Amino acid sequence: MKKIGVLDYGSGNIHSLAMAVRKIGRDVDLITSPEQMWQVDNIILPGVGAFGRVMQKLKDKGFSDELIAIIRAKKPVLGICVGMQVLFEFSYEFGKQEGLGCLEGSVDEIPRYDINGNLNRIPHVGWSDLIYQREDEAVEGIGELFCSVNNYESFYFIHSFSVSPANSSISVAHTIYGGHVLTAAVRQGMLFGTQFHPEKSGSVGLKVLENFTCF
Amino acid sequence: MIKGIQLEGLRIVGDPGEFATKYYNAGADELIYSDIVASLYGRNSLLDIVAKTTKDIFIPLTVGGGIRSVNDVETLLRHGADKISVNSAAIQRPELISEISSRFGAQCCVVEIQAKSIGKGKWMALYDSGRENSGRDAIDWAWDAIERGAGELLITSIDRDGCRKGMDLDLLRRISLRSAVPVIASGGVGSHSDICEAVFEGNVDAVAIGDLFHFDRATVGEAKEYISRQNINVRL
Repeated sequence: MKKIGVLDYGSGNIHSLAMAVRKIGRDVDLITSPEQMWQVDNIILPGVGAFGRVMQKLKDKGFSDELIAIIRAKKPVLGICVGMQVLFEFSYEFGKQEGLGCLEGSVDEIPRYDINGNLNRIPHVGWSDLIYQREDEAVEGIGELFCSVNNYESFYFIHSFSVSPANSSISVAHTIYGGHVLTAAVRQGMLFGTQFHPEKSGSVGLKVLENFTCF
Repeated sequence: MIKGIQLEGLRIVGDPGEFATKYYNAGADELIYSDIVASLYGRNSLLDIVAKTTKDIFIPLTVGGGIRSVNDVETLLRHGADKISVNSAAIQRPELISEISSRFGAQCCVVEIQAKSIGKGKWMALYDSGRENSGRDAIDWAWDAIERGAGELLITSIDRDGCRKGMDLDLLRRISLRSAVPVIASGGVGSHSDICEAVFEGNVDAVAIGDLFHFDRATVGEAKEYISRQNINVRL
């Protein structure tokens, strides 16, 4: 059976993520050292809180360089929330911060005002519709992150910053908040990222996790 | 699980885990666990319940009651809570809000404000489950909490809690119209239309409901279908 590694480096809701992966019938390894990453089939990189702190913890535990090597070796990796944001080159949270740079682009603050000029409440918290960039994103068959998930299903988001990929073609899905388009999911080869929390998005979220473990 | 009226006269309703599962299956968007007597006894005993809940329930879970330090928060998060809510300890030591927020991110720090009306347009912030008066104006305390890094406000009207007569729309509106962070309203929902009023007139982002569901007077699904028909955007 496939073994899914969840990076346990002191950031992110490891407990519920591990429970969610178990729920879909996969083996879970909590990964506490960089070498362990090579012993699992797929890797999930959780992350909550400030970008800079998450990056610092990845570096402190020796994960950042090894993670880049794992991604180059094309092992399937899924970054969730800030775990996705750190895959990008840099963030503007508390000044310019460097990320892992596996995906080109930056992490920017969600606009403070909605498109009508009213205050946008930040963080963006709650269930929002996920809108695919391509109509056929949910096609049946192994190999798509959103296979068997309908367009416009709601997923749970909780974030103050959002990613702006340099190459818009890596953006797979978006959501709309205060009239602004926010990137909700990205894919480049075997590297995946979701701004929403699949482990907190009920049965559709579990389906996305299951799809990821099929790669 | 217990429920009272105006945070008093608590009666036993049942096992929290069973209710959590029921609400998850019925389509609840989020769960809030509140150990409402924790501060009184200086304890923090929700850990086991939290850990059990997150085994089978995959929606966000906010946990509050008795949180006094960053370490308390860390322990709860490790047991599966996604967010924590603070009231009593934050009133006694407001720096706690910025400590939690800078360590775990503002998104994880919900500040609960227990507001008691003291006349037209005036509310006091209470703590220890509405037993103690902080001497602070509830609305000023809301701005202070946001300034210090609260990621969400949970506004509980003590006057309306468990009364089934509708929410304190004046209180909610005064806070929501100026809040830079999302506002969750709590206390007073007696019918489906009370939820709509809180959204349309109170301008809140979310409504926390206990009584209406705990005593089977309505299901989560019925409530959502009703408010959806009133053009409130809700996950069905």
